[in-house]
Amino acid sequence: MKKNTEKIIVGLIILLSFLVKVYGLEKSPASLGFDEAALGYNAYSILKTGRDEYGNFLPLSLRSFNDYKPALYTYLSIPFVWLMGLNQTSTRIVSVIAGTASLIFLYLFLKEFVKNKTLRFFIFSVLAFEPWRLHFARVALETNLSACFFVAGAWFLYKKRKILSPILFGLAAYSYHGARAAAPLLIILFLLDPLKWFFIKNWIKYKNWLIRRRWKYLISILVFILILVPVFLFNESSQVLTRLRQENVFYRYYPFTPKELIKEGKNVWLNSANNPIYYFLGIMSGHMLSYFSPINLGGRIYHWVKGSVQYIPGFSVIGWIETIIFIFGLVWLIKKIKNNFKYRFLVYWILASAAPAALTWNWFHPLRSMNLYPAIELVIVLGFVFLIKIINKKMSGLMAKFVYIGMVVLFAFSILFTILNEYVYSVAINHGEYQPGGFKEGVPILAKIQDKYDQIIIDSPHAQSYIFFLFYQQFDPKIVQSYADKRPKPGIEGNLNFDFYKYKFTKYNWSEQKNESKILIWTTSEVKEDEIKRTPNTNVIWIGNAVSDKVTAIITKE
Amino acid sequence: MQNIISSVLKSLSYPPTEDQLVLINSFLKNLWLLRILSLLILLTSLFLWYKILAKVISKSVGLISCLIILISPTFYVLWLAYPIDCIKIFLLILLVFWFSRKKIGKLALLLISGYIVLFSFLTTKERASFVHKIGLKDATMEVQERFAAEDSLTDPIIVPLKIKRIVYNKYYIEFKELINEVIPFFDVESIFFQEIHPLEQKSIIIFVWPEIFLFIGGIFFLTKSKNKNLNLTVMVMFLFSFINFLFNPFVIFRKFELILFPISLIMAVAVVKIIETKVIFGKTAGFLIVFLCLYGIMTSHNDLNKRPDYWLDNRPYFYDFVFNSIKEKNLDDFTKIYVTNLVGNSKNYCEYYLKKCDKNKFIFGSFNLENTRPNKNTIYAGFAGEFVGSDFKNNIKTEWLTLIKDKGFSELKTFSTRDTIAYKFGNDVVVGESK
Repeated sequence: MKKNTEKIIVGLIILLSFLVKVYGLEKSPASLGFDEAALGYNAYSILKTGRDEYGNFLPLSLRSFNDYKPALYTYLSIPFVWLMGLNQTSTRIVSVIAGTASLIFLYLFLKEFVKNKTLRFFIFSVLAFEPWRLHFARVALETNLSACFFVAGAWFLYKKRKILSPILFGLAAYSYHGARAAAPLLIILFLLDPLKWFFIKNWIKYKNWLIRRRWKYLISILVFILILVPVFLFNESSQVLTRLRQENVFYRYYPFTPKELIKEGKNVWLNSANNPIYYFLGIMSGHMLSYFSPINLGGRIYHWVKGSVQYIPGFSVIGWIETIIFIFGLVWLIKKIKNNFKYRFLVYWILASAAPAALTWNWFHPLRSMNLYPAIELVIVLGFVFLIKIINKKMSGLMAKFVYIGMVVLFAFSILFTILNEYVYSVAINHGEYQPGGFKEGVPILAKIQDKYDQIIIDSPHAQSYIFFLFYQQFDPKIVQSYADKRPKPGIEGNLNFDFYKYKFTKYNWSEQKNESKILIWTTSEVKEDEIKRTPNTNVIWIGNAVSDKVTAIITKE
Repeated sequence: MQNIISSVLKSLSYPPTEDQLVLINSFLKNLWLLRILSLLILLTSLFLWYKILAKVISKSVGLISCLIILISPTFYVLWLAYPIDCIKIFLLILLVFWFSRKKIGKLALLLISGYIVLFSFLTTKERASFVHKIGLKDATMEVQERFAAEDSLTDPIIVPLKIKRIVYNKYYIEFKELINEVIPFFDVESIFFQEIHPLEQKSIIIFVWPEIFLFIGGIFFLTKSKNKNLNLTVMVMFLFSFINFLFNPFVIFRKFELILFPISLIMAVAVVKIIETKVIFGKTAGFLIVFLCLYGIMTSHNDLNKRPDYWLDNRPYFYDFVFNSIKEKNLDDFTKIYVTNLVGNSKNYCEYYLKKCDKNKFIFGSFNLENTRPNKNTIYAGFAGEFVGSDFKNNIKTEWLTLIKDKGFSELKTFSTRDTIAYKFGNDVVVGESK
């Protein structure tokens, strides 16, 4: 096969993957999530004023919901917002591009592990449509952008590019917090190659190898640190670490030992029978190993995943068949780990990218560990290689061919199912709490009529719903910025809605509000339409969401 | 010393399970006799397992594998509470032992697999979810649900119906459902992290968490091993564990009970290598892990004996309380005794605790006193929800005790189960007498 043919086939798979990811972004996922709207609106705000919604000039971290999001995603969205206006597609397209671009590096890694081109194309086609790739690329997620830069950084690190690699890791770190820990960890693991320790008998030889061959990679760490310096210079470092403080494992699980096994009044650390250190180490090991656990990757849905942006209905992260193949891959990886650095590099990648997520309280959290999944996919690649070896060894030529055809048909079905599942079924299941409906449909209507009223009452159960009123009507950022001092201060969690312009966030109470005039009420609470319409000069406009035509009511009172 | 013994006794005083009652009421008559027999059966299985491994691999691997199984909390709970599982394990290992000497090969695999399936079908009426998935009924329902969900969208991405019909065909969905039954077999959390399980799943510790590192190490040595018998034994035992997992309808540790054998074997290989290795770092790390494993085992047993109700099935505790409370009363004073059957076969428990259960006096079934007063000269034993009304979210009225007293019961005894064993009826057990 000519080299050009390979490029064309790979290019076609990537193009197809891009088209699948980009198609129908306005309809699926049906509406934006809170964080997506924040990323998009801040891009709009910076485009129009050079400042974020709080009036910070070209910030490196967005204060947003007091969670200080790394700002790179927002900056990369600006050209698309400029070109296409502020909408779901322009907000999500960076994620689509990142999800597609990371495929290039996946293929480069794939070439390292699979020499047979036909097999490589087949595996690449399967991986290009993995449920996580499709789902996360269709949502505006900083972590998806980070994963793209991270896989690129990992590739150049693997190729021993001492400067380019930390630059890409730096971009990953400017995209998502997790990469700030994962990238230096991967460089250090790459530098030390600690798994060698288990097998090496001559320590002097190892020390010499370390000094002779690896010391020069210290420059990669230095470059990475230098790139990251501005984050700490231009923001209060305590604020940058806000997220970790809120979510860390140490706080949530203390005192680690089950409470009933602790004797009252005694020092928990001196408990010899059920020492907290044992449980703490267990929790940490469990958190790390949960990212290798096939059931987590291929089936089990944790309650903190369900009802969040990372929930892919019908799947966990990877496909079901791939989960089984992943197990073969793990065995192959363990088998090869001693003799070949590329296999150890894969382990280091998995460990480094799982470590930041493992420090948070959740056992398994796909969103926080997205730098990891390209490496998981490479383990699946090893599984394919192992499986093909077994098939070729154990089966006759005809039987093997039969199995291969079966595999192709099965994966074709799987790919189609994954796409359909993501396009349509996911919308039916996922619309609601984190991608609340009604705002996309209702805010433009509200925007058209709001000038005629003196006050707009917003009765919404969501703690950050203000962002949708900014996003869906492209609200003037200058007005929003002027309220920065009146907004909930950093460190405050919970209700972050704030009153601005004519908007007042409060509970809907018709018996009180019916006496006011020139008022407009947006409510998701129960509305007794007959009772309201009995009041003169009053009207009710019903707003629907993805599955219903009555989730929100706009009540107008002249 | 006294403390240790009393804490050990806490789990040893676990009331009989339904499995045990079947055997006790039929012929054995004594719980402890049954437990000792179960232990002997399991020890014999271990001896046979040792003989198999000593023959096909090595004595040291066999010995360590047996030790790992022996100290597992699962092993302890199996002889303590699940005699039928002990018999199943014994027969399985006996068959493996027998076939390992005959070298029948594939036929042996088939026969033993058949035995596991048959045993599951014959010893219980319950069926594993895998069995329910066989056949297209569930798949057809899922297809319909998918279509219905997608049709409910007001403005979906339009996908041609033909494509939908091709993809959402019941055969593919059936395949998906079956493979989703297979994936949970690779549940690292249930096998190795039960003591800190992220879902606080009710089960028993199979292996303590540090043992996963021995397992990973063992796989490494296994992939390097040229001993075909070793690899074959591991594969075959995994296959049997897998079949048992698919067809066993019970709680997760019972579904995984056979996995004790292949995993302990893999870990034994790792331990032997740790002892043999001359690589200082490997040896140090290895011994550290072994130490942690032993500490973990000690910790787990300590936990199991301090909180048996946390780890073990709570239903026997329910019956223990109910029938011991009834036993204290003079039954001749009562015309009827209602005992709920919400959580199991109350009749079997009655026969165990009271020996004679008059058919005309005892009524084994759920009752509802929400809107009625109790009959005179009657005992009612059940959950609070049966006295004051059930709730579909299991939120029984907080003043349930007062409400029950107000119904005119002359004496009430109550007990709270740790787990929700009768959902909708609350966690509080009440034995009330009305005179």
